[in-house]
Amino acid sequence: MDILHGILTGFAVCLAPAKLLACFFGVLVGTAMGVLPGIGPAGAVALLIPLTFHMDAASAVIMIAGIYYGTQYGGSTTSILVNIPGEAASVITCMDGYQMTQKGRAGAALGISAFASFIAGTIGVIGLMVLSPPLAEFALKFGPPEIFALVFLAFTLVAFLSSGSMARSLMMVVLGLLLATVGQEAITAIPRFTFGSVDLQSGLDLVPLIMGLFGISEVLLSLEDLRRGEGAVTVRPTPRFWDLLPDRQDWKRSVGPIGRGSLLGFLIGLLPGGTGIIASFGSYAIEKRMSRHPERFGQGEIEGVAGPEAANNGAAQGAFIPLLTLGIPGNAVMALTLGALKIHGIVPGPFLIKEHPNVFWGVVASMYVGNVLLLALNLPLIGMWVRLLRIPKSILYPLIIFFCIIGTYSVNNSLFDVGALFFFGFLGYVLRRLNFDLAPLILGFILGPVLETSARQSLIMSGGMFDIFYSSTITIILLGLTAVVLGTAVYSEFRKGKVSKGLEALKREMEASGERE
Amino acid sequence: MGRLSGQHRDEEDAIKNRDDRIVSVVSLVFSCLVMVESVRLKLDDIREPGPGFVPFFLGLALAVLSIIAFIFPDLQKKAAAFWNDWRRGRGIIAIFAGLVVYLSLARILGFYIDTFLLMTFLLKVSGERGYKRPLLVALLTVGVTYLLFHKLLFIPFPKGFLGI
Repeated sequence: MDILHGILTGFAVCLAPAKLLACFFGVLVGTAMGVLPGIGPAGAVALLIPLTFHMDAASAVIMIAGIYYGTQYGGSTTSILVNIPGEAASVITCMDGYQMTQKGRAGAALGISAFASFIAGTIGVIGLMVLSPPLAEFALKFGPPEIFALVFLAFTLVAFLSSGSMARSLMMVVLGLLLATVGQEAITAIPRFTFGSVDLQSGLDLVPLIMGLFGISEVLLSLEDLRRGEGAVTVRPTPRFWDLLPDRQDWKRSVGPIGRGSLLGFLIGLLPGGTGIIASFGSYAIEKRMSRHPERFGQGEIEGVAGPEAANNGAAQGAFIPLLTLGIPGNAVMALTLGALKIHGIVPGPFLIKEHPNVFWGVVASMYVGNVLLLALNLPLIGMWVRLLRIPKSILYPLIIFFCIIGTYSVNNSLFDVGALFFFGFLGYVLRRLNFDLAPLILGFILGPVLETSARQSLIMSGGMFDIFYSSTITIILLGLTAVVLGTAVYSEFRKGKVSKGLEALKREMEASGERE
Repeated sequence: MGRLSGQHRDEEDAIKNRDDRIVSVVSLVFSCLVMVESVRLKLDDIREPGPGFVPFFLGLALAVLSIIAFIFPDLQKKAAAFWNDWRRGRGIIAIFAGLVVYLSLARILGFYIDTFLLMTFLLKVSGERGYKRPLLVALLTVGVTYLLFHKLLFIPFPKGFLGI
């Protein structure tokens, strides 16, 4: 009854003209940003955050949510039509989506992508509605040791699920955590790693970090290809509206993948660090394994579009739960949402539902409205989105750099932040050229203050005794899961023979250098 | 043929090993600096950890991970050959230098003039031929920024010697 009352309140809030306009604007601009390569959901949100300063809290989060799933949708459109993923979570959609386009089935791919996103979004909203209130109650049992254990598990999971070796991913997590320690320390207000700079006293801002590491570095990498004559876009004719409706056979093949993808995506979104990228890749792997013809994947199988698209959108909805119930942002977009809410004096956490029901239920209901808007708005506008890619890249890339500059500057009106943007842009470029995964770094930066505060509070509470970290059932379960993940990673490295191969290589090199001497 | 490709793979692995090891050494040096600075900030007692406590352990963790990455390079990753292929990034260095110049001139020339010059530079570096289109795009960018961000959102931009 509470949930029903809550959701009715939510619809009353989000159907108010101002909120509806915020939602419409969010999905529209989000889709446009998703179409353009290099900006991504976090960059798009960061760019438009200054607009939310002039809104009330509910409208601000409604718009941010709209931008978030709008970018996911926009990214898929370009993946399918021109083989360019607008954002990272849509990379996997290129595999079969673009192949479907080449076989003349672009309409079905786009249609099923839109419907899969809509269905997953709907399931996600139901999950959010049903799970958030009990989770918020449960979250009251979380003290500093439990939060520490949860964040620790998140780091291990994100390192485990990232590409490349776990040691390299964990290095990125630690680098992110170290960057988060820059500035005045939370308890004693002593400045750390500021080197006398007044601008660094308040710490590094998330916006230049994200826009630099992802936006600027992406443009720099793309410009490298452009200068070498690669990266030309061939835009095929876009399908007509009626071609976008999948036929009966398409639906029959897609129902299972959409259901599984929605569930998987939602569950992955619940985990701190669980992103749309992990969800879409996971769903693709599951569908390929479950298929009777796995060899056809990558050649235009509709299951390879339906599952990942559903998972991607499911994760976007699920990610709101840790933020709204625990106050812990699981990814960069949620961290920006947290920042926007704090500007309006609202601190997300277990008390949000009781203290600000309009905000909570308004956001939940707006997600449903946003999904309907996405479907109604985007299917007829596909041609327009693709036309955006006809902008020559020699104009598009400088414009994206400029969007990053203006987005970063306008948050704090600070040129120092613009300098930080350039620094992180170059750092991101170097790290990506060296094949480092940057998602763990961002998560480390976002959750760094949470980890530090909870660790120090726990030690103060226990008088320096480490047994506080295994004195409650919740911490034991969370740290047990962390140990399992770490154990699995080490076991798989041994199984692949990487450890012995590495030792052999080191031995060979030491022998060779000995001979040279 | 097989022996040749095997040899090629060995060479590629050696390059990747070297890339990883350079990164590991840089990261190890960085972690040592972090630990030294953390000690200076004071670790204090474990019952009441000081401001350097968490950074010190983070530095330690980074040092351990750097050593692990040094011993076990990631051979699974795609060929990076970063240091071998530095010429590829020469144009990027030019762009980066342009961005640094832009930042240092922002308060002297003012945001709008500085941005106009940056956009023209970026458009030219990105491969735009001639000057007509780059100048037009740069002018439009500055104009839209003025209307949207300054007039509509009241964002104050740095003014230069001309007062704009």
